[in-house]
Amino acid sequence: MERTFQKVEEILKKHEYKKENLIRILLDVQKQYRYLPEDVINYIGVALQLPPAKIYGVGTFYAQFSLKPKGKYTILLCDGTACHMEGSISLLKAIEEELNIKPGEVTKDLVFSVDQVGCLGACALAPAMVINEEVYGNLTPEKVKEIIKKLKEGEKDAQ
Amino acid sequence: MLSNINQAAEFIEKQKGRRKKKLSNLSIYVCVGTGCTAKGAMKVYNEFQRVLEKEGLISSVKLSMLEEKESPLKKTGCCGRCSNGPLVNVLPHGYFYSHVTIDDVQKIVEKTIKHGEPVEELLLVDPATNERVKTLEETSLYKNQNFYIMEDIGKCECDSIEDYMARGGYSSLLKVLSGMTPDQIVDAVKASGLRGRGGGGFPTGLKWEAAKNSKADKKFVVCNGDEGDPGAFMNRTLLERDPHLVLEGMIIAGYTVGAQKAYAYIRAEYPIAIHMFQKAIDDAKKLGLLGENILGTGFSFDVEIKEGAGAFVCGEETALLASIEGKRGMPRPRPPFPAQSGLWGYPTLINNVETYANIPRIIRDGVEKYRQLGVVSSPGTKMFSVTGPLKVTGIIEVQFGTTLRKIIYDICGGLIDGEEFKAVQIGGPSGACLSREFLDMPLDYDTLRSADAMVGSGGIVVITKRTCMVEVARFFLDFTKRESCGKCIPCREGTMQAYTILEKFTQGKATTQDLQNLEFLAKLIKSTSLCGLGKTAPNPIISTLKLFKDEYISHLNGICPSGTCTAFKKYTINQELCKGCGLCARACPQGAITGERGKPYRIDQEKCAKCGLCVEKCKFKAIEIL
Amino acid sequence: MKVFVNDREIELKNGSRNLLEALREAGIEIPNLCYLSETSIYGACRMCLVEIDGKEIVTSCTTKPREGMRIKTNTPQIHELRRGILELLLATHNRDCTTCERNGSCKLQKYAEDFGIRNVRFAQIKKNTKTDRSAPIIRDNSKCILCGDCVRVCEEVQGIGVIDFAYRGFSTQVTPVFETELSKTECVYCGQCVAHCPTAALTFRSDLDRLYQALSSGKTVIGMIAPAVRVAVQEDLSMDSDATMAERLVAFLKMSGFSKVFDVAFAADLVAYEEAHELYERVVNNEKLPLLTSCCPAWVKYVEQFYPKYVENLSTVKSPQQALGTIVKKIYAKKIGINPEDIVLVSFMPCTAKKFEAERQEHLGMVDLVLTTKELSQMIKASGINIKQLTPEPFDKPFGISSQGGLNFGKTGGVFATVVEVIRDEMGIENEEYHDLQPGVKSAVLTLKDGRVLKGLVVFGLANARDIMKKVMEKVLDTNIIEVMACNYGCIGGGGQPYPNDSKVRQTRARILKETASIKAINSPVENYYLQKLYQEEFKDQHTRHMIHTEYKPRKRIESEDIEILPLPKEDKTTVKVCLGTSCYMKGSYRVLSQLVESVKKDSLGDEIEVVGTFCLENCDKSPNVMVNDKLISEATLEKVEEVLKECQITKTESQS
Repeated sequence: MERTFQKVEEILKKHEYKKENLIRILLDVQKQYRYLPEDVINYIGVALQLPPAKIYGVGTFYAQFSLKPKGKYTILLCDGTACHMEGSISLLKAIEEELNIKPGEVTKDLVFSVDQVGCLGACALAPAMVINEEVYGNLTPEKVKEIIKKLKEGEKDAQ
Repeated sequence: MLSNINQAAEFIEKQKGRRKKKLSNLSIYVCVGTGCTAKGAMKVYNEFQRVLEKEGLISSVKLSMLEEKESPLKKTGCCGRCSNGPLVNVLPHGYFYSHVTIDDVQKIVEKTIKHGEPVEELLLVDPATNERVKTLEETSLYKNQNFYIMEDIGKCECDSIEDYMARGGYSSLLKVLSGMTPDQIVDAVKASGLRGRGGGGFPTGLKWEAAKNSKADKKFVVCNGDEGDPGAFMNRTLLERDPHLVLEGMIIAGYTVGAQKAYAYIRAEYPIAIHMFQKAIDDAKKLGLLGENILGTGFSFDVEIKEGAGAFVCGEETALLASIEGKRGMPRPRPPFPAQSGLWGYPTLINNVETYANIPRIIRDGVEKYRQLGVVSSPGTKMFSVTGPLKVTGIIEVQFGTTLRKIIYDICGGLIDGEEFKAVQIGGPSGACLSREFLDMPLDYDTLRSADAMVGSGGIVVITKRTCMVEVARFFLDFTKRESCGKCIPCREGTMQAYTILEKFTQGKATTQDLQNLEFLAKLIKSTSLCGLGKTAPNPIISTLKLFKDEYISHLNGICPSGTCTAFKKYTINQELCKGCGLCARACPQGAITGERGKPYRIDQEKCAKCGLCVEKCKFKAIEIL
Repeated sequence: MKVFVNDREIELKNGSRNLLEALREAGIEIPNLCYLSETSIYGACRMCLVEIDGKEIVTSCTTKPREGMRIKTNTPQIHELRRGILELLLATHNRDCTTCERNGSCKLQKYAEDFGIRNVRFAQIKKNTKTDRSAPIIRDNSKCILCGDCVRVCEEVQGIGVIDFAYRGFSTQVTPVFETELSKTECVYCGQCVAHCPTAALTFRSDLDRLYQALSSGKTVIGMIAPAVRVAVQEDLSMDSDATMAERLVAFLKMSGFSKVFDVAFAADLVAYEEAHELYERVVNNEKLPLLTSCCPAWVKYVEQFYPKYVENLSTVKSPQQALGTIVKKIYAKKIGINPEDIVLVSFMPCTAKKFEAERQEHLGMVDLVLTTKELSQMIKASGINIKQLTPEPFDKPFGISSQGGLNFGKTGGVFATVVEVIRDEMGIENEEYHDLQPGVKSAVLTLKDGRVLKGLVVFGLANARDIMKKVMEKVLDTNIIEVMACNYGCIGGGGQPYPNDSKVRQTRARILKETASIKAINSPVENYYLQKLYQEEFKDQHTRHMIHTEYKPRKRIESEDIEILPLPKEDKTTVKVCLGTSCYMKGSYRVLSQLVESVKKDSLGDEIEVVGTFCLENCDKSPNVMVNDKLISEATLEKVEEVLKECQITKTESQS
């Protein structure tokens, strides 16, 4: 991904390079990158003359910020007892094959990220996953691939 | 741009006339609060726009505000009935439609707008009678409330400063600027008996006085809109439906204490509230009611929105101030109080959204009239957010001294069929649980405190017999432990430990010693925590231990009386009904079910994880839960 | 004012910061775990509870004393609450007390004992237990009680803020940004966090094992003792102060296998003598002023990181530790006919940053091992020797004697005062004036015999230094020399000193050091016979003296990877690195970067030129900096960069053809 800090500079400028606007700056960075990248935090530290540890402290305090990249589509794959027994591992394999990422990772184009989570409370639909708050249940590896492919196509069309 | 008080007064009179005319003519108010918007209110609004244009009822050219003829289609703010949204109010008839979809729009235009007849199937159902009523005002829901802060439900334009002024808005500001000294205002606020609506109920007048008397070359006014209680959204409602009311209160506060700048701290999770409030600020600036040299009086005042980034603790005033400064929202010890040393060390007046909204009313109506609402120690009204298995849920406004019974049964129509009342949880995560005996207790700051409860921000959750009180306590501690800022030891460590003990209870692993430890922890956290969040965090424990100790004891003895805690459930196979098909055994993730084909199967209780999958699979309803 | 404490009337001093300090003055120490007189009030531990006027229970750190106040400091209720708080802490604390660095000096351990806690009622819930041993300062979060003392000291007293709180609630931790290792941060290893940490969450690296290895290796082990060590080591040995402590330590070290023990104060004389001349020269030539002292390694790293433009203002004279190290290894070794490689030179220091200093590239091979006062006292305790009963032995010649000034290097103002002594003797002083400007900052104005006026500042605490440097940069402060000691009160308050290590103890150490110094027979390095002999025999000219000088250069603050801006997989690419560090950023490096990216795109050179952002090229005084392949372009502009790029393209095409 191209990162010239152009966006960060725009954000900093919008908020007048003021320390008191740190939270707003980070909110905008979060919106832009969907997380707070380490080099961006360092860059903001340089620009605002704030210790990076301080910015990190703010970034980890508020729920709106994420320190790890998240995709535009965050796939939460349930690995609770019920889903596990119903074969959530095979779903994970399908996702890995389709997107080439492991749990906790995000695709290079930042469109998809995958996380394994404990029970989603959808045991009756096991195995289940949630993509951006939408629950998909009674899944098979094929179904999973199909869902992801559809989202991918939607992305292409959007571009 | 209004350049002096007289001009402004004339402007208000003119707007009043226009509104009167408007209300007697056709106007369609579409609620665009968060609840209705989530349910598609904007689509409905756009559909109205499209249909009305097509029918030639409005022109697509945007009409300027000075033109006599204006669009009958309006946006109104939250009506408090989000569960019924999207809501549409059609004047002059006052037909109040609920659950409106885009498919209904044509129907409404045909029947109501063209022929003045109601669309029966869209009318509101009065929960008291279960019958459809034509107007909102006819419902028991409406009649039993005391709309004072939330005036003009369903017929105020949330995005129009002219409409606000037409409803008498900014008259209080004019009154203050044209003839009241800061001391007189402080005296009025003190005499009104107004108490902080954010939770503690501290007398507002004393805060104002302290901030006014602090000597400094800079002062700040802060509006606390960091409403974070799960399920409570009074502040959001207020900011969305009548942002100018809050803004006017803030401007009066700025004039009184001698501040030049104000911050409105609103959660980033409230985009519509932020949008509405920003528009209010911009419009007020355009009219000269905000900014440099307001109405030529020499008083300058600016308001800026600061978005909260998701931390419940920022509702605590010192944490909120830290957050405005761009820091971690960690509270600091008081004294010094913000009125002496707040933002960047300058005197800062900080009040809740709803508190500011009361100010223009007090100035408008005078102390005596204001005090006619409510009780002596807690004058005025309070907005509450009511949730739970009730016929009606949402935002309500009642005067202080109203009983829970009136709220639950008269306003909200009682519990939905089949549910039985057990308790209410009032005041959010820092609040307390009250049992049936408290239904007739008048709700006000002091009476609630005497019952170890608090008004808090005003969340009311109704709990039924099917809910376990230990689980309720666990739920709230789970919330507070996650939202603890982590600064002081009792809150950071104590809430985690208390949560752990409560979890043991719900899992059936608690001992008598745990019960003692829980009692001690609650006392420790309450009496030693640094800030309000910590001090009130054990309230759900304290109140449930006081009123529902028997449920705790039952858990010690292996029983969850309400049957909520899954750990106490015992899954067994009815040997008579089981056909021995083995479906359940194959479904069981734990391999806890064994048996021989054709013969009744059995569940090994040691292995059973109580997931309930077997129940789903069994075609013969042979699996029983004890 | 009169107050009633536990029903007894007592008199409190007026103007106390809070009830906690007022009662402390009156002899009552209210238990506390997060209160520091040196920093802002945090109010988080909730241990310092007192009952006021029979009503409310409040924290004494946030309460002001008031005439007639009725205070109860230890009611059964307060006792119960304090105990509860301690149990909460202990429940999640790593309780490996017997093998803990702070065994016996831990405040939490002490309170656990004082309150008789034998059983912790609460669950032992796992917390983050990350330890970081990458630097001389060691962080162990399993011991952290989140009192924030380190955070406040680092930010408020030292003006750095390397560590701060991250996350919230039960997951709250103290950590550098992104949990980076300390060795890759801006930490200057001053150890003030260690000095104020109530537990072992922050400690320093112990090198005692390496000492015992050296002693059994058959090599010649030579020791050297810094001034501040001798006035603090007795604290750990339950002894009174003693003017001959240094000489007893010499005896002890000799008994332990050291063949020689020298006095670092001798090297202090050397440094002061050399620096006085350096200062005079710079003043005469009006260059590189103000001179910044370089005895304190934490301060040196601070300047390298935060004031790269002023790196050349640092005195080039090595610190006493490194100067003595150099003359031992380069001169003394030859004299006694031992290969320097067969000598293990061990320096006893009050300081954690000295461990880092000895390991700096430019100093390698001089001082082999740096041990703190704490490590020395541990050694003494383990030996079982009661050093009070030892007969004092003198330091070894030729580096065994010093002036009063040399010894005073151990406390704030010592370097400056000794430099002044040399100037007095060599150049002559007509008049001198001293002023206290603020806590931690003193000023001096000297009128020399030749009519020149010399202005000096003496500063401790890096936050104070930061304020002074700001004024220097804004050119509103006129001074010729600034002595900076990173730690409050100077080296006696170093991070390697015994616990407690607060202002009160430091003031006592300063008094003892002054007394110990005042019985020295000579005032000035000029009178130091062995020093003068060294100059006559070894340091005849500038060239030979060069060995006790060194050089500094700007240092990277952020050790992060380069950031790919226009990434390129091709092999024969041209890499352009644009510095985005503070100095370069302030000087508009971002503008250069964006222009460059645009120009690369415009000329469609995207396949050949890779653009990279980096957080410091360590050439800050000539910012903005851009590096094209390995060619550094200072004060870069787009034109300059393009010119160099063109050259690169030409050479590439030439080599291809």
